[in-house]
Amino acid sequence: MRRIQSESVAYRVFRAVYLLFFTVIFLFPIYWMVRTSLGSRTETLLYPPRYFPQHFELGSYARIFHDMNGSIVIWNTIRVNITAAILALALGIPAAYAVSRFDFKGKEGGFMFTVLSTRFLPPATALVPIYFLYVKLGLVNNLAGLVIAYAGLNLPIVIWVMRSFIDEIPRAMEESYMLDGHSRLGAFFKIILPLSLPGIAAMFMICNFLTWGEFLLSAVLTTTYTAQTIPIAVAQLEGDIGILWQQICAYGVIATVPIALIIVFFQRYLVRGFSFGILK
Amino acid sequence: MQGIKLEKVTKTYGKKRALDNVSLEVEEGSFVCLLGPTGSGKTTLLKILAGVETPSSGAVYFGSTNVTLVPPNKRPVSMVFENFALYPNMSVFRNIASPLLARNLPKKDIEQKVGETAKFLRIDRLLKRRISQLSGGEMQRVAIARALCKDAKVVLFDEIFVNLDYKLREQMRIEFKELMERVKITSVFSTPDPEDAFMLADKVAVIRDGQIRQFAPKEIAYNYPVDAFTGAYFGYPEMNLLDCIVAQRDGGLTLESSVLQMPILADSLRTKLKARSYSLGVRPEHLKLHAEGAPSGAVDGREQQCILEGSILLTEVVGSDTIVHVSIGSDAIEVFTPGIYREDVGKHVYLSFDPRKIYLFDKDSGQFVGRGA
Amino acid sequence: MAALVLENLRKVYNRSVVAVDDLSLQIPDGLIVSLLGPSGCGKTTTMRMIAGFEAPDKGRITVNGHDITLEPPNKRNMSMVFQFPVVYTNFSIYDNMATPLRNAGMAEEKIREIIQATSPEFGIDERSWGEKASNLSISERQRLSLAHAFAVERNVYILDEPFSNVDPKARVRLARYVRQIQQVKRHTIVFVTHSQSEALTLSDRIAVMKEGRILQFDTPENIYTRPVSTFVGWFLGNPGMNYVRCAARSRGGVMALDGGGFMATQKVPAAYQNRLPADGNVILGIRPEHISVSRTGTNGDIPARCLFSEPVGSRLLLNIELAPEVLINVKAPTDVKVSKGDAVFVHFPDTHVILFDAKTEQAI
Repeated sequence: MRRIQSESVAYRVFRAVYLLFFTVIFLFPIYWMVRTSLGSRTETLLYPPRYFPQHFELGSYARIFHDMNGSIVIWNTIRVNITAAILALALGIPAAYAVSRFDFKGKEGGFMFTVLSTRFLPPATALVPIYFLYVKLGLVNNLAGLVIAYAGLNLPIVIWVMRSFIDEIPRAMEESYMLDGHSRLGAFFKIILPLSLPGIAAMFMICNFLTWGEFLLSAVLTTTYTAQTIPIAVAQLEGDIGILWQQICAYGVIATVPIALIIVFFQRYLVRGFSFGILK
Repeated sequence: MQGIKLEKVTKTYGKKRALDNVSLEVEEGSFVCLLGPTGSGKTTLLKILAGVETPSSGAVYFGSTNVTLVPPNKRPVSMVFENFALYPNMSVFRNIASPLLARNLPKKDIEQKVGETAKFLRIDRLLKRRISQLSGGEMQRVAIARALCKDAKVVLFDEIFVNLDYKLREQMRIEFKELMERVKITSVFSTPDPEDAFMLADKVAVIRDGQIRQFAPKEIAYNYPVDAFTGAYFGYPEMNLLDCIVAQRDGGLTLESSVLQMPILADSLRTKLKARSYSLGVRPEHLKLHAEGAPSGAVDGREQQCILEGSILLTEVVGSDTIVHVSIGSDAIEVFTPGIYREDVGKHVYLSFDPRKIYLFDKDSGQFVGRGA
Repeated sequence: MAALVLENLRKVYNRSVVAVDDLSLQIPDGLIVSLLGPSGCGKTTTMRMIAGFEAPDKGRITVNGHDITLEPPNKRNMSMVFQFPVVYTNFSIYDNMATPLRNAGMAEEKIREIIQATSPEFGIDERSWGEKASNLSISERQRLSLAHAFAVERNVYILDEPFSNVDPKARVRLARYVRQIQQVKRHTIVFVTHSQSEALTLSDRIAVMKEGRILQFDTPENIYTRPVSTFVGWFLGNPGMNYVRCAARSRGGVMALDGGGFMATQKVPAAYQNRLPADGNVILGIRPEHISVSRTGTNGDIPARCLFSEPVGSRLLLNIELAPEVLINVKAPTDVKVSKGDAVFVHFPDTHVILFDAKTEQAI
């Protein structure tokens, strides 16, 4: 392929080296994590570190599943995150639609700001009140409780972004559908939702990104493995014995898998979703 | 059903008054063009007719029924939107069938009605296609088919040609005319383009700043515009307006300015004139261009032509005809010349027009005073 | 001032979309040439290759004989005006125009001279020189973009649909400035547009494009009166050329108009007598303004029916049905008294009939 020669050879070499350098820097931690997870304790602690280990063992992974209730914790994490994302979408999209289409008091005056401001708040500030509320409601150490909390974290972003997305859909679409004889609700389900699918897919991914590694709320609101998530389990691997690096990395690798799957599946929606809703 | 009526409708959005005490009566079966510049209130008016918006005050009648508060899905009205608003996630068939599906008709009936309508509009072979595969002209037909399937008594068209490529617009206007000649239904068509009105309308309602200036059959609006704005706007190209005053000369009363002197021939006009400033209106299609020197004697078999002198600013070719922009004094006059005519900027030319074809408007109020004959 | 030559340009996107296909064009020095065609015809891609924003996959571009095919845009000595006005909003009007001149290393007095000469060419008042560009309306900004482009002497000026976002009155003004400056300076200008009217108004030559190829490159008059294919005949003119399928039998020099069954006959114009295709299937093309219509026909006229008749401008636009599904548009003088539903007679004068091969749709 021919290219415009605005780029001298020197520049192209420099660019290639530069990109290679940063690629290595970004990928290295992931490589190291995988490598550590598959290594033995002695390997991990070698100094100077060995970049390409000699032995491979799956002991760390086995330990997670046999001794640490790994399967339950992992399943908790998956369930809580995905359900919270779905809940945030289920509540947020209709809200976004309302903001986009209807006029109401205070809309100009900072309604959206109020909505988003809940996300500005460091969760730690609200932690104590939330904890006491949960105690009263019996939601401590309860997956449902965690789902509600995470959905609350996700909701502002969902409303904010989906509103931009729905703004992009011309009103004429629903008006036309309603003129055809359908109700506004019908228009919402048959027109707005299908047309918003890229945005919905993107937001689903983003919600999961936001809450996947969430530690604070999970730590406070859960007490036993029955409700705990991966970040909590990983934290428990720093103990009196020492830091169990291999297990931590093993958990890390495991934690990456569902997210990676979500990305692979929803990836094609992501660019469209980002450019539509967020870059406004 | 008799027709539709807007009665003293006003619509305000916050501080902005989109429609101001508008009354309009559309006879059954007629094609009314709502003509006006962007922001004049056309879309708001259509939305109120459709029921998508409710007026701040006033009423809407379909026949003798007050439908002001009836929601759009319960009104016998359908609408074709700018950009057609076809549902991209559905096939052509489902788009057209949408109004029938809303009524929960049996499947067979729906298929039959959609088939008939599609055949009538010559799009029956497109029924299985996706919207993204359609050309502009095909999309137009699908949108109209959908509107017809609602079994509405009134169809509203909201600036449907506005976002099209030039060539496509010219083409679709003619196709649309052909279609609407066969579909006999009460229609209100909004557009900022007077060419649409000329081609399509029985009656035209010229709207400006939320008020209807004139509502009349198009020949009347063309020949007897109610004010300078309407006279100028409902013309293609826009009517030329020249400032002038009345003066007394040997031959009688004349209209004069720094660039022209025109005898007033019509008796009816003579009696109405006072010592005021007037706007003289000459339509570009009534001006004739003379590039080879001043015309002498009769032009097109008529004596008593008024002659103007100036230089060409631009020969603007529009399709198969040319609008010649001529600088006369400090004004720019447009002359409509059939055929393709190209000439250099600056060429000295003469223009002639028949004084009997002029319009006269009061300069201050813009009110129509009279015709040249 | 330069002669621009495009040789066998080819550009493919994503390995499957052929935007430009073996395109060759010779633009003589000092002319405005339009690249005219519907969206997707390749005119924008061609323009980008001329400007240096894209490299052709195959082919060559030369300016005055120098090969510039792969040179970066800033080395090509070209100016460009885009669809959206591009002005430096924090600079004054004067500085906007001066920027390219300063970049070229010119002395300030010389720059002032040039801007003094250019400003009136675009109707820019000297008194407004100090104003900030951010205060200008869209049309005024586009005017400034034009002045900025033309203040410098360039090999080629490229105008990419410059009037599409400007209001109609300003459009006329800006077109006039371009035409005026061209009459005096004789720049080489490439003008990209999808509007046949803009192309006809401004160009010395038009290159009609479709699907990555140039269909016809000629003066506006020739393209209008002697289109080389049915597409070109349809694309120019409002309404475009009418087309009727005919079967020409060489005997008797007569062809039958096909309306899904016999319809009428038309004499084959003398010029075409010996050039008909073997199977005799042709398409008869004639422009709406060349057809004559009357209530009473003379011998040889075709009987038809008027579907609608509307006054447009100083003419009457008639939609005439020759046969079911065979419709033509006619532009008649207003004194022709034909109304909707009338039975009429239609005459196609020989001198304005153009025959196209029915299979290839190319002019014979």
